[in-house]
Amino acid sequence: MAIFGITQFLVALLGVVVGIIFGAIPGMTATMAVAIFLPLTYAYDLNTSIFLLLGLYVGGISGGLIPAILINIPGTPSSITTGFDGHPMAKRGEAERALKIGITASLLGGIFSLVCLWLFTPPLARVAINFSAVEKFLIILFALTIIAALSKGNMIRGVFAGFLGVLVALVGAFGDNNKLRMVPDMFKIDLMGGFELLPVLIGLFAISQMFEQAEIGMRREHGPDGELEKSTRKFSFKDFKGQLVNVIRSSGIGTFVGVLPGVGGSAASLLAYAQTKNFSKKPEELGKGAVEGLVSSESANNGLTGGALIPLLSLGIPGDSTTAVLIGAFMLQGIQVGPLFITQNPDIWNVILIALLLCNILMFVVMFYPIKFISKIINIPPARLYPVIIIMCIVGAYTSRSGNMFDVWSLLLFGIIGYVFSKIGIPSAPFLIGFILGGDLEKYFIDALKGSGGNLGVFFSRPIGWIIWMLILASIAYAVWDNNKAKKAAELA
Amino acid sequence: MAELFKINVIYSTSHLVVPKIVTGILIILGLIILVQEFMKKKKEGTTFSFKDKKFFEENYDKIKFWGSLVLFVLYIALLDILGFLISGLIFVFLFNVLFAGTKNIKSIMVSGIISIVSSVSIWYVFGTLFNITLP
Repeated sequence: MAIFGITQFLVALLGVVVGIIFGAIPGMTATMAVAIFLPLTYAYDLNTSIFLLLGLYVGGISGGLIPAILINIPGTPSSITTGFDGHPMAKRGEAERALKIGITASLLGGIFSLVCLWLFTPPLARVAINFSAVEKFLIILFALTIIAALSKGNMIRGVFAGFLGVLVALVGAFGDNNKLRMVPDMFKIDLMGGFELLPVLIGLFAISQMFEQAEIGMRREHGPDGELEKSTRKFSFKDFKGQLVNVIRSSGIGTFVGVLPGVGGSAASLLAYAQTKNFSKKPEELGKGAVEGLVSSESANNGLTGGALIPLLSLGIPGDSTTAVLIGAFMLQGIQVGPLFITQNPDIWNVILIALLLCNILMFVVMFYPIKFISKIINIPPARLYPVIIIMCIVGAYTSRSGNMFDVWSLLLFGIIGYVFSKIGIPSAPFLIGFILGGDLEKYFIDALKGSGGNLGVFFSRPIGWIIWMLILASIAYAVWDNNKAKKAAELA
Repeated sequence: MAELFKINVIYSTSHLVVPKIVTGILIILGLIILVQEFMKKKKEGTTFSFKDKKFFEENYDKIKFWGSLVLFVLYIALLDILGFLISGLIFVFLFNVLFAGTKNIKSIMVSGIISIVSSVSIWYVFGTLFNITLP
């Protein structure tokens, strides 16, 4: 099997460019880009789809730095800290330099996380291969509690969203006895297999965004970008002198945060930025246009990309909302992601590594040299793009069971649900992760109980299980501690 | 005591075990959230009510928000009747007009061009080139 040809190259390039566009327009995210392009993967084989989807992912995460630096509005949540130092630099006439530093840092972060993915996934999968239903159940439970631990002062809502996702995943027939639950009579046939993944995720991450943007009138929040024309200081790779430790630390934090399920890029860059400030020799300069801060933010959010793939490919648990969408791509092709993935599909594993490397390099080439041209993207009015996105979404929902109008209506339903969620402060990412893992959670729970004759003690009977229990307890303890800290900080403020 | 740590999985009702547990967890979490909100309100000295919490942004764009919802429903409802291409042409145009406004002839023409180019190209790429079933 030829894993890499001209088609794959072109598709990756397309993915990167489209991803950058989505990343660079505030109000559109990398997750959205991957979600609405998912239907295209019906047409390609898995191999080619991976190049497209990883291109969208890497491009989407990277594109966010452009508006963050030029107009101080992060294009995606993950570039939230990029503007802290990037925008002050742009204001003193170093826009091009800031952009190029950001792009280079993105590349370094991406490569770092790729190396981590390559090194850590196979051993983790080897451990997970020995998991019985008990451990598989516990690891999913752990995924749900870690969401809570990292929901920053919003712990209960995070878990609530996760379990609500689980409940929605249970709608439909149960595999063991084929009985329906939580299905109104009129939808008996349509909901036999429960809600389809595609309409749920496109609804949650694209349609809900459309409603949010419509609510604020689809306005563009900025004037023309005059900052790029003047240039007081040119970029040079020497700017990275003395940044090695910073790059490694920030990419490392980004990758680690990526591994934790349900935590997005904004947490990665915020954490890395805070640490860079802690370790900095001149912490007072951060926030005023320090190269350090910019490098930290961008290497952290691209570090996320490889990190988020580690639990996906070793345990079958997505590390963030975008990789949750990637699970959809694998499911569509009938491939099970989990501990056996690498041993059963060594070719696809290689494709993923090569595709991720290629997409990072393409991202750099596409953004670095024609940056003056590329940065015009932020002038594309969302009002003109959303209508096109809507029909892409409809295509995506409709094709998820090759032509079922019920799925198109569910698309709208989950669009509204996602919109309401953001209004009442319930995060959508844990909901999606709960939805994806819900079916497995139930299956393993019931299987474990069947094996023990209903005795709940089975969940405490194996040493690997104890380790996961300790991790679960640690994550809950951390959640409570961090939640209290955040509350105290809020009271002081 | 030992009975407390047992869940009997009976084949005919096994489909209800996990949904019941999850619903229980959700009710507990939901109550905690409500109590927390209540305590917060009490601390701030205001009474608990849903009214003082604005659901929409202040001065939200009523026409665009409700318009997009109505257009979306109509779009899906008519999709099966009109077919993918025709409904795409109509609704991409309408969404464009809704979002970008009708300030001048040029804006409306842009809406028209976007509608034709995007609908036809998506229809062609997905339906013909990739042979994906479209409405």
